Amino acid sequence: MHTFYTTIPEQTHSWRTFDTNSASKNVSTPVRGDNDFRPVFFQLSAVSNARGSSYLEWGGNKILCSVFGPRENTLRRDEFSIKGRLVCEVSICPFSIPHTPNARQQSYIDTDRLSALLVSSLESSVCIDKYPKSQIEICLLFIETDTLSMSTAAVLSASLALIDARIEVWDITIACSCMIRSENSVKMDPSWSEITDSEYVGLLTLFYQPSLNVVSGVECEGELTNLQLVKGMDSCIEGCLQLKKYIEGKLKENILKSRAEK
Amino acid sequence: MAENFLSCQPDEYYQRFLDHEIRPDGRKLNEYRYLNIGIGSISTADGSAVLKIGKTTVICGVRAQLTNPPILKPNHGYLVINVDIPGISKGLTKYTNDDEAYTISQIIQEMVSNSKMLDLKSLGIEHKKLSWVLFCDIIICNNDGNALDACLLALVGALKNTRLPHVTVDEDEDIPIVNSVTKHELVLREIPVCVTAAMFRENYVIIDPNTEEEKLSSGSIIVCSLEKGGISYMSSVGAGLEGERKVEMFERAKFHSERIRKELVTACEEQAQSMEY
Repeated sequence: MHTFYTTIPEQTHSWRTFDTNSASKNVSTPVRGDNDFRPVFFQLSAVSNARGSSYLEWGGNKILCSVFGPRENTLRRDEFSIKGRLVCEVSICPFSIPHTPNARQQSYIDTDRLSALLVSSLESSVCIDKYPKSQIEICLLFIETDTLSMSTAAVLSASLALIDARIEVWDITIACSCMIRSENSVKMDPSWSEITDSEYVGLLTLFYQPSLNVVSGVECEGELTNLQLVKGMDSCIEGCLQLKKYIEGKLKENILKSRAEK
Repeated sequence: MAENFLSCQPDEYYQRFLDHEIRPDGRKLNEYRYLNIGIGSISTADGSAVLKIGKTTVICGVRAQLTNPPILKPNHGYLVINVDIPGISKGLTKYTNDDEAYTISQIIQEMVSNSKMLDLKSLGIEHKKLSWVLFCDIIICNNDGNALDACLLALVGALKNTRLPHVTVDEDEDIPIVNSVTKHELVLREIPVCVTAAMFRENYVIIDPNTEEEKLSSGSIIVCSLEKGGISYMSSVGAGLEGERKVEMFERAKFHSERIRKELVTACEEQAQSMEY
């Protein structure tokens, strides 16, 4: 009886591929200006087990992120290192990926690549010199995702969790993406419907540390000219500054609130 | 001062509280933590539930997919239950090999199959051709004790929230035709609810233990009860209870599970009503 429940079928198909009414279910999205972001919501200390954690909702992404450590270095136990190590693990809920078939939407997500990207873009902002022989673990869980702006939301939630964990950092790493159109105009923080509808040329993702004025990572997709690339990067930096203002305000609010409670 | 006492002599620390019939977090021995039930909050899943018992947080999502029926039972469907504890609840999972998730998923599968909650025949669509498979993924986001109760509740909540579209099979071309305009609920014949208790030195039984209490306890009792008073799973691990006290434990479990079941059903009904409007 029990073994019957545990058998797993070999081949399965999503029922949405055979759906006869899929076209009628298009949800209309509110119209945004080219410089406007989709709403960002975050909360700190969402996971009590962790040293610090954050919950972030941005666009189609819902992310839970927690930070552990500094802990004993698991990789090189016998070797002494004066610097700490930043480690990252990204996991994705099996039910978080949307089923709606979209030509460019991924059905498989490379979590290893995403975690490597996170480490490389955050490493320069964390004071790893202050944590010798140890490692700081960043763990992410995608509860819901639209597979589009995964890296931007992941970086933002990770840096918020680092702040909540009181790990010493030089700066907050903020990420932002923009779409470049054929007539050299730029749209910030695009969603799937906006990318497929308009004259899409390329997508640019940028990781930026505003106080240090350092770009810690750039990702580019599509075929862009030199001019388009520069323009995209400029507007991404502007967007990051805009986001930073909002996040700093919210963080200050949080601190004042927790002080008032005490 | 109290923290030092707890870390040096945890057993004595707890004993002093338990002698006064109270726990360090302010609860009585027979008190369940606050339940927070969110139904249908994940839009990418076919059915979902987020469940909180105190700080313990569990998410369950159901994905419904089409497949060939099992060969031996050609008019049945599949129910696949999987429990996962990702890195966010305890740090990197690459270097640790923990059996906790596997144990919980085995117990839950047993509870669900014993209770005959879901008739697998209702998941069959066409004899020998097509049937539903429900992938139920339970994810423990934050483990502050008593994850098992939370997992089963989240699973039941997600299954109650699951809506399946109407499917027929095209006889000529042998492909499924899905009509997602009208969706139907799953028929759940039972709502199993389990209640976990921890034992302290065979003298005290405390309901709904948190992580600390789980670590210090000498054994645990799990009772999974059904609507009409039946019991679909029961286990008593570690230092055992005497016969009389076991009966007392059943009564307590029944009392709590009735209340929890009511809360779960009202949460599901409220969500269903809000979807209609």
